[in-house]
Formats: sequence, C-alpha cells, structure tokens
Amino acid sequence: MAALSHSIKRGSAELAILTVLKDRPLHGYEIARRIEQDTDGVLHFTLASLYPLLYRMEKRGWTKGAWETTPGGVKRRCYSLTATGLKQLAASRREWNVFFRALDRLGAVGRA
Amino acid sequence: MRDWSAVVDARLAALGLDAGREAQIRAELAGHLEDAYADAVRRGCDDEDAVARALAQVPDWIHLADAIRDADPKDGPMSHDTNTLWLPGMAVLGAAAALLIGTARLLPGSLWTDPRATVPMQALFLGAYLALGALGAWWSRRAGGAHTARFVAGIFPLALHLSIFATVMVAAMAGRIRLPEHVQINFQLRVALVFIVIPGIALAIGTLPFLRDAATAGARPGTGDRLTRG
Repeated sequence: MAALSHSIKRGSAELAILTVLKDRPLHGYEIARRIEQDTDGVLHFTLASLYPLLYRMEKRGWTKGAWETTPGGVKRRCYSLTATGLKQLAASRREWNVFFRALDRLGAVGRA
Repeated sequence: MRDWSAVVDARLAALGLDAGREAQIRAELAGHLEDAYADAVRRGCDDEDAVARALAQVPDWIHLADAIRDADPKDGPMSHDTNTLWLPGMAVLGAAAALLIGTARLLPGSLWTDPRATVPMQALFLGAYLALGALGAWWSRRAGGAHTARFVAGIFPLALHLSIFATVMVAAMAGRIRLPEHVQINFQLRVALVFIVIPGIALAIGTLPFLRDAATAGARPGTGDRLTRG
C-alpha cells in the first residue's frame, strides 16, 4: 500500500508538471506556483519536492532545461517539454483517466 | 541583497557531480529560494518571516542532496558509488598494499625480529592506518559520499588484510605452514588481533572526523545564519 501511495504521488506530481509545461517553458519556482494556483493549493511543491523530480524527468528525456534571462533580469533555468515529454503527457492522462473512471465505478457500487 | 548561493553552499553537502553541473544545481536552488523570499515579501511578510518561509522550502538538506544525487541527469562517466566508495576505497587499499610491500622490502629483515623496534614499528603502522582511514573517508565525503560510504571507504584496506589472513589460515590448515598443534589456536588469535582487529580499529578511528558533514557543520537551518543582509 505504501508503494502504491508513493507511486500515485509521484505519478500525479509528474502529470502536474508535464501539464503546466505544455503551455510554455517555466522555471522551477514558476512551475510550483502555477501548479499551486491552478489546483487552488491542493497540490503544493516545495524546493525539496520539486527539483529531484525535475531532474529525474529531465534524465528520462521528458523535459529539457536551459538557462534564460527572465523579464526581471535574473537568470533562471527554464524547463520545456520535449517530444518524448508530450507523448508521456498523453500516456499519463490516459492512465489517470482509466484510474479515475475505475474509482468512479467503485463509488457508484458503493452508492448502489 | 541576500546571498542565497551562500545559503545553499552552507547547507547542501557536496553532490559528487562534475563541477559545472554541481554549480548549475546550486545556482538553480539559490534562484528558487530567492524567488520564494521575494514572493513572501510581495505578499506582505516582513524580512524575517520571508527568510523563514524561503528556508522552510527545504526541511532536510541531507535528504535533498541524496534525492538530487539519485535523480540528476548528468552523473558523469562514473556512478555515484564509484566516486564515493570504490575510487577512494581502492586508492587507500593500494596505499596500504604499497606500505606493506614497501616496508617488507626496504626495511632490514632484522628490524622485524628486534624487540626494541616493536614499538616504533607498531607506531608507524598505526599512524599510517589512522591516516589511510582518514584519507578514504575524507575523499568519499568530498565526492558527496553518505556516512556509510565514507566509513567503508576508510576501512577498505581491511579487505587486503582479510584476504592475506584467509590465505595464511588456509595454508596453515593445509599443512603448508607447520606449527605445533598446541600453538595453532593461539597463533590464529594472535594473527587475527595483530593483523585484523588493531588495523581495523586504527582505520575506523581515522574515519571518525570525516563522518561529520562538512558543508552543513556550523549551519543552523532555519535561523537565517550566513545570510548577507542588505
């Protein structure tokens, strides 16, 4: 159960990151803020939880990091989705849809 | 202007990655803390509260370093285990072998049996093994080794001693080294003590100063120390 919980957490975190990067490249802090805002604070990333995940995703070739100068004039490493990352996003969405539909069906059984 | 790079350097242990990649990661983490601090100030936090909020992004810096090491895409041609365990371990093992062979060849044979030379010889070996244990643990720590890796790298020469001890014991049991039966057990215990236990203790003691985390030593998380206030 602990392994499943860990897997669900990581899978959902990866999906969240891939989703916000689909629109445009973002640096780490922007990724965390966007996810927090778009989920009304339900999903919350700290530095400690975000960067190991970002580096792992980059290692898998899902994202690519590059240093860019922000409008504020500071340098930040921005992440963008690669073609592999886009495929992974589509695959993850399908998996999560199946997962949530299964939970929905369970809910329907419980309500019956 | 706060020096968030200094905050990261004070808290994050060496990652054992190539220098350029390590600098990139440190700069990236410092940038994140800077953004978190600026965001907190924009939301109306006072300076102290904003610093605390930024630092709360990392509850455990040692855990963060481990997680980054496990995940980083540019691990270099050698794995983390190679850098933190095998390389320092094999280096001190080689140095121990050179010491044993060198002393056996260079020192006159009479010195080994001269009772007056016993204490200086023991002091020489114990001192050398303390230094070798320290060297292995220091090297491993410098490469970002965890506590276990540092300790094992430091006591690596024990592998050489164990293999020599095992060879001697097998030869003794096979009858190639003939000893009177009543001194066999005594001989084995003495060899184990002199050749395994004492060097092992010396190596282990040598590792002790380097089992402490250098990068985090003196840094008190959450207190905002080492920050350059502007």
